Amino acid sequence: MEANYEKMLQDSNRIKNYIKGDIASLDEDTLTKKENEKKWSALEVVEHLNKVYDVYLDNFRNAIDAADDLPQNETPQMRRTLLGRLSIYTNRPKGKKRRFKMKTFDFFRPAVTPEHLHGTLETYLRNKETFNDLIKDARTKNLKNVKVPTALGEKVKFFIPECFEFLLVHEERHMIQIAEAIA
Amino acid sequence: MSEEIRTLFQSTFGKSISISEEASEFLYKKFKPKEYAAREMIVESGGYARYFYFVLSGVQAIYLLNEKGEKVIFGFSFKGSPSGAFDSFIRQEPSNFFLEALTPSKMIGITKPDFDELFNHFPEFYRWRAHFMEDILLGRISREVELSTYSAKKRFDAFVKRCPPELLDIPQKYLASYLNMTPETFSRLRALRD
Repeated sequence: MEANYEKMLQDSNRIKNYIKGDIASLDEDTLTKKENEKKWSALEVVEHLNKVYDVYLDNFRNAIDAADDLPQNETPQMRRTLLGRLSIYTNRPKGKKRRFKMKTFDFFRPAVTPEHLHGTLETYLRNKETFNDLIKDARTKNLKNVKVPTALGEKVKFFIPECFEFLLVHEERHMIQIAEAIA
Repeated sequence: MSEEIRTLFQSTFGKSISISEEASEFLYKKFKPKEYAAREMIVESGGYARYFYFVLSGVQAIYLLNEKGEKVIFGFSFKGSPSGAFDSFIRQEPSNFFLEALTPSKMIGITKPDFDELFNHFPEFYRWRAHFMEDILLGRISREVELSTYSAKKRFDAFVKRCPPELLDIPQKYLASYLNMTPETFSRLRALRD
């Protein structure tokens, strides 16, 4: 099947513009507000996303740089793994609802203090720029059979385009969580 | 300043106004050369259009994605034509469109502050702007008529008649989308013509 990198880029930009335009300008009290001790604040959600990017960005860069160029005029193709398919399905929000609530891994658990406020948001926006550049670079590479390790471990790998999609639906899910946290 | 750019300015602005020495210097200084590789994104949906361009070489496509995520081609730019994602450039807001270099492209681009300064310092350029907007409007009306009243064959014939030859070398799916037909129909019509 065709890899729709343009759709991924559009979705990624929508998320970036939401954080940059609607969230980054909020005051500290709103950004760190928690409904209860168990729930995350908006800032904690953003920090969680930074931790996720820490796991993936370098792996993407190395794999994309090592891949062959796609012949001109050839449409980029993608494949899916069973687990990738399942992960995208369970993470994709339905409207404004997050289905299949799940606990995160300990190493993805955010730890932010008010002094990290701007640094956390700036880091996220930088990560987003890097992620968008990776999507753009992927458009000219043959990544049909190229996999990267996931947060589930070195042995559990996703194909790169499906891993992009997974990160995007995972972020969409957390944008709903942010909207709930600041409400 | 290359003869190529001088000719380009003359064939665009020079059609509407007489370009003074001072204005000419301003244009040469503010329009910066830009190069894009084939498939490179010049503007992306959700990103910002930093420049208004004129094309020196290459072909670029402007498109957006429909609800299914499919590309819908709105137009092309090519040697001698203006180019850009004007929604974002004019409003300085994220663009709804993608602008992609389909072939290696050389362009010259001016930023929005410099574009605005051009009209502030040289108000005669508003005459060019009025002609430019008229051309865009008439072009869009004519395309609207073609899309809503012409048969696929007539749309294809009208396009082939007016398009520059380099456009026929780009991937068929882009041309088919622009003409609102399937790649198969486009291919059949092309075979009939050849």
